[in-house]
Amino acid sequence: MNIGLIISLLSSTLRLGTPIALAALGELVTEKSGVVNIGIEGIMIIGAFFSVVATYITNNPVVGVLVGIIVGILFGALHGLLSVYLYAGQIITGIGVTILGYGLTNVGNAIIWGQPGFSVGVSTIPSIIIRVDGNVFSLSPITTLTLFLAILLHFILKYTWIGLRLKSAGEDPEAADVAGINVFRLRTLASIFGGALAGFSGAYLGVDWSGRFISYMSAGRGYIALASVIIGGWTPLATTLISYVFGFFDALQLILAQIYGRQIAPQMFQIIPYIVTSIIFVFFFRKSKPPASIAKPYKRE
Amino acid sequence: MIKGSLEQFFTSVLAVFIGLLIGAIILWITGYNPLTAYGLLAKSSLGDHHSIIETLNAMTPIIFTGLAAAVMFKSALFFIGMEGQLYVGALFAFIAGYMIQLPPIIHMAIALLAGGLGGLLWGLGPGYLKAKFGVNETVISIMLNWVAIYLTDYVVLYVFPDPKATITRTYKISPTAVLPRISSNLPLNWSFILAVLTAILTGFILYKTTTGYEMRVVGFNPRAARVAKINVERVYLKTFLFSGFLAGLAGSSMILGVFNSIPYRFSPGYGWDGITAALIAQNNPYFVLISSLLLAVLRTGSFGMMVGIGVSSDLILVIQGVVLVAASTPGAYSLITRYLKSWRGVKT
Repeated sequence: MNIGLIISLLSSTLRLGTPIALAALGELVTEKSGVVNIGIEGIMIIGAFFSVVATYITNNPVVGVLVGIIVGILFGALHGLLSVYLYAGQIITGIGVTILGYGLTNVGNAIIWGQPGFSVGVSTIPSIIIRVDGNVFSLSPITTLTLFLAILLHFILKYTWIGLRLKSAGEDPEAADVAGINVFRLRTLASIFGGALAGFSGAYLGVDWSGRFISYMSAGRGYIALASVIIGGWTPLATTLISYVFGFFDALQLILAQIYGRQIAPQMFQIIPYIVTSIIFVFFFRKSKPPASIAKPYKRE
Repeated sequence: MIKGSLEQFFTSVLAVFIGLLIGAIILWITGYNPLTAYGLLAKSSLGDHHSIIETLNAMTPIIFTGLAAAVMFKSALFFIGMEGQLYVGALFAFIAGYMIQLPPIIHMAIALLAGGLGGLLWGLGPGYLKAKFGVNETVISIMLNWVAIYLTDYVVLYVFPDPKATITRTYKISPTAVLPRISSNLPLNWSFILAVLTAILTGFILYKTTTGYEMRVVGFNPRAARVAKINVERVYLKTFLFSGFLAGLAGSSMILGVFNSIPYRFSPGYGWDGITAALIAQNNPYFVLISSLLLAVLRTGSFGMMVGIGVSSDLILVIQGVVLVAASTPGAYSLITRYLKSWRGVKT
């Protein structure tokens, strides 16, 4: 294997692991507090769409990212408020947001660009280019930010009162309530944080990774992020690592398709990330234990 | 009991209303007249003889996937891989219809069952893993959806592509496996009747048999079910197999009844429609017959709306998504009614 291939595989792994890691880190915080949001897939695609729309209008991808985050905050707040104050069936809400996301973005794409499937190209967040031996290694600033966020969350969850409160709300909300923690507000805020990062992840797909909106471009990555959180045992560093492992297989798939695309049908490569995710998920599932009160609405007696 | 079901009924009706309302608002914001759009939707799905038949044809797979989802949710399992199972069912039905030679009615029955078997096998893995190790079924179901769709793409494009066809599709199945029309001048095939009968049978199984009783108890409270000496793991597995079979039938009904081949990406999302149908029906198989009609109207009408005024047919996904979100918060409605009551109490 030549050095160029290794560099492009590594660069691609970082690119494709980032959206999964971002969404997973947000979901981790949401789940720690006792709320599960399986609708992050929908928030991702909506974030991707609106980030592209905003960039299309302003020609500034940074604005695009901010808009993606804001949209994520709105949907995270919706999920949080419904789950916390109206005791919503969180799984159903999540499925709803997923379907809503696919629908909304396809409708919007057809309206704005008058064509089904994809938007026009927009400007993207510039990458940091590193040259190694004449090979180009490109690193997105958002990837760097993601890795930094993972480390930051590790310390926040482990050593600060925020981590402690999140944990108590997710493990034993009654005790937390008695101890004076506002479980309702904390869970809503955690959902908002999760939504923000899912929107950010979508914006990354839109105005960093691809530079356009493509129908269904989240392609199940929201659910892969959910798998990362579970396999990562609700710890930021392990969750991030596993997200990039999934990113690696996605990158591998693309590179294999490039090399062997003439002999073997592309579908045989496209299924690789999903199969690998399933296998890793099944293999490591048993070892992880979710927060005790996950997906259970807290009601005061 | 009656009060509870009435409340559920209103929850569903209100959820559908909110879904349509938000859809209308989006139409309005984006410069379309919602009344024109919905009028076109209704007209092109229920307006004349031809469109009603179209709608009933769309309703058939939605009944099957709706029942599949209802059975799952009844046992409180959140497997949402019906779209994938539909594709695998279609593959199996196609292979049975194309590769083997049998006398007419037998061939039809075998091909139909093969589709069910395909869906069942696709659910076997996640079902076993859920029952045995408690592996989260939702994540796996999404992964399997993508795998099923890509595999079907592969078969359609590379294994059995019909080079003479004007659309991208496989070869046609043998005429002996084709599901006949109910009457020669009615382009509606027998799978519609089969779907309706299956709904009644599923209702019977859920509400009148021990298996159905166990599924409902497990769905209501698995811990209580264990105390009552119900083998929860076995109930989970049974649910997966039963549901998978139903979702697979959705695929075989489309291949054997409508297309007689596998067109590329032939499902507009009937697996997802089934999930919405089940939730609107509060997971009651009999009510799935009503809710799947509603979704079929949306599905068929959405194409008319797209052709007529150019609104993407995916608008109905928006409506469905909102319906699901609204239906997921039954607490909201009792809260609202309680608030209204107290408010009225203060006033008088």
